[in-house]
Amino acid sequence: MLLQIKNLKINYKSDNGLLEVVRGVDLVINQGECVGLIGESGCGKTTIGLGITKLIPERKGNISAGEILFEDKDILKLNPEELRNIRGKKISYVFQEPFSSLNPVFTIYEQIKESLKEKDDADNRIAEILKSVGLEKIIGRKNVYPHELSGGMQQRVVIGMAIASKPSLVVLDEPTTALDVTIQRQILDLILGLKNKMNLSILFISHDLRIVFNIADNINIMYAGKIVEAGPKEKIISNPSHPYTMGLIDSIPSFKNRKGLFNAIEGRAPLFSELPKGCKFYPRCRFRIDGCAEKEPELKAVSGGQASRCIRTISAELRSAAPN
Amino acid sequence: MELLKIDNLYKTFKKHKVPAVNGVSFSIFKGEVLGLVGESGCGKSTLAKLILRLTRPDKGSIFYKGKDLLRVSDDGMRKTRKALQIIFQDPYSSLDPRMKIGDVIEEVYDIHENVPDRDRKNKTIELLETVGLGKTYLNRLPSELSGGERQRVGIARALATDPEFIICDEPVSSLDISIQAQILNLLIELQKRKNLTYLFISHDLGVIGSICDRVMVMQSGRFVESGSCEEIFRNPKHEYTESLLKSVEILN
Repeated sequence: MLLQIKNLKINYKSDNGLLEVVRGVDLVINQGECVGLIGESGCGKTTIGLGITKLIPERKGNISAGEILFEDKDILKLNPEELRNIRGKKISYVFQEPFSSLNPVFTIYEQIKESLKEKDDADNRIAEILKSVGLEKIIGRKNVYPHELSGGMQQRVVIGMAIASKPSLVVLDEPTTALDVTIQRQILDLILGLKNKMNLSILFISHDLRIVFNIADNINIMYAGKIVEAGPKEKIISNPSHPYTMGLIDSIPSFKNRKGLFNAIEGRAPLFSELPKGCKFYPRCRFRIDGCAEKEPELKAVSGGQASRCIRTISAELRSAAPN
Repeated sequence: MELLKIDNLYKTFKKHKVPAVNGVSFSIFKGEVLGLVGESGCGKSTLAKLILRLTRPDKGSIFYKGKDLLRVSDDGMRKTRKALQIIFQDPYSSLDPRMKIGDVIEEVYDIHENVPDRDRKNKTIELLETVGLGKTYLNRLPSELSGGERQRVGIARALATDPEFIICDEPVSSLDISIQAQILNLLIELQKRKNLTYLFISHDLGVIGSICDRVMVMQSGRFVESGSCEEIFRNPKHEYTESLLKSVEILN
């Protein structure tokens, strides 16, 4: 186990006091594994990514409980010096907008050099990195600036910087969302290639199931600050257990889903200031029963190696029945 | 019935040497959903603007029910636009942040003078209900609405002139997947109920496949392939179409 998150709780400050937006999350990432974290905007998935290296600014919020064991040490107990040795070095990040991750007034060479652990022999190392992310074209061109590159190439640079320090874990937060679909595919292929070559571990955060299904080994579905379903990718695609996962899968637009109206999830995700009692998804759930509003269900193992936070077992027949 | 006929359209913007739309011809038939797919910068939004005459082509013609839109006077064009509407991608920037939702919709009546004063309020409420919102939204500001709700307002506004043709320009691209499905459901339902004709623009072939009858694949200002959705999805002929398809499929 490379990273183990136990019962992580994170609060954000708001006008109505502290709001818990990560409400007790457990997550495991093994060496060389890609773990997907899926959820809608505002469900807390990015916050978990940032929380892993304590990147929640104090003026915005705090981590109130939990453990983040990375290489058997609790990150939450490290001093600033020890943290600096992990952030950007052993654990690195790639964010959604490549253009805002790069500094427009420095050259690509200068920026990659900055992310190198050792600066001697920098030119050769930079050439190596550019090659590994498919940017042979700009090797040796030391005066190229970010704006001269396309979005896809910029994201390749950012990925290059993320792997420059030979990290063991890379957190990729919506790395392809701002890119065109065909470029998305190329970036995913690049990430998969690097993962295999460097035996990288990846936390892949995205709202897009199609992308996560294509890259992750294990998947976690998040709703309103908690994991509602977790398990191996194949199992979750073919046999989801939680009604929210089912709704997400049924919402994937495709030729197969043609004009037969989507089994869409009704309504919108609740605000953290107005979370319902009991299961947080039940007001939108088409399988809800009386017990759902009483107590928030535990994440419990279900058949197929998955875990689901739902008190019901929903059969395939029930799932395919028309919504009422 | 042929509703719109686009004939050999060209448009090059002054700043660029490469044409944004480079010799494009097609027809849209009454009651059909025609898809237009391609990546950013391929010219699809320019094509949308040309059709509505929001920008002028260098060459070519656009016939709406046999009438050449490029020869219609500005006043005549304003009248014609009642029938031709558009829904934009970004529901955040297409609504004035200081206008209440009711006023956003009623502004349309001011421009088109299509609703008598006494019917305005009722028509607005009816439109809001049609898109699943209702009258409690009349006095709200865009900032109080979620992305999906804002896009519903964009749809209500497009419906306010009782159009027969709507250009949907990436209407779900900036929405979460569960909300995407809700909005696609709404658009499909409206299309069937009102026998609307859509030109549906998207970079996502999955979305196109779920809603369109026919599809045109655009690359660098030209169509590289077009045909029924069945044909394109079962048997794509152009390499670019294949790469677009590959990018939305899920590995099993």
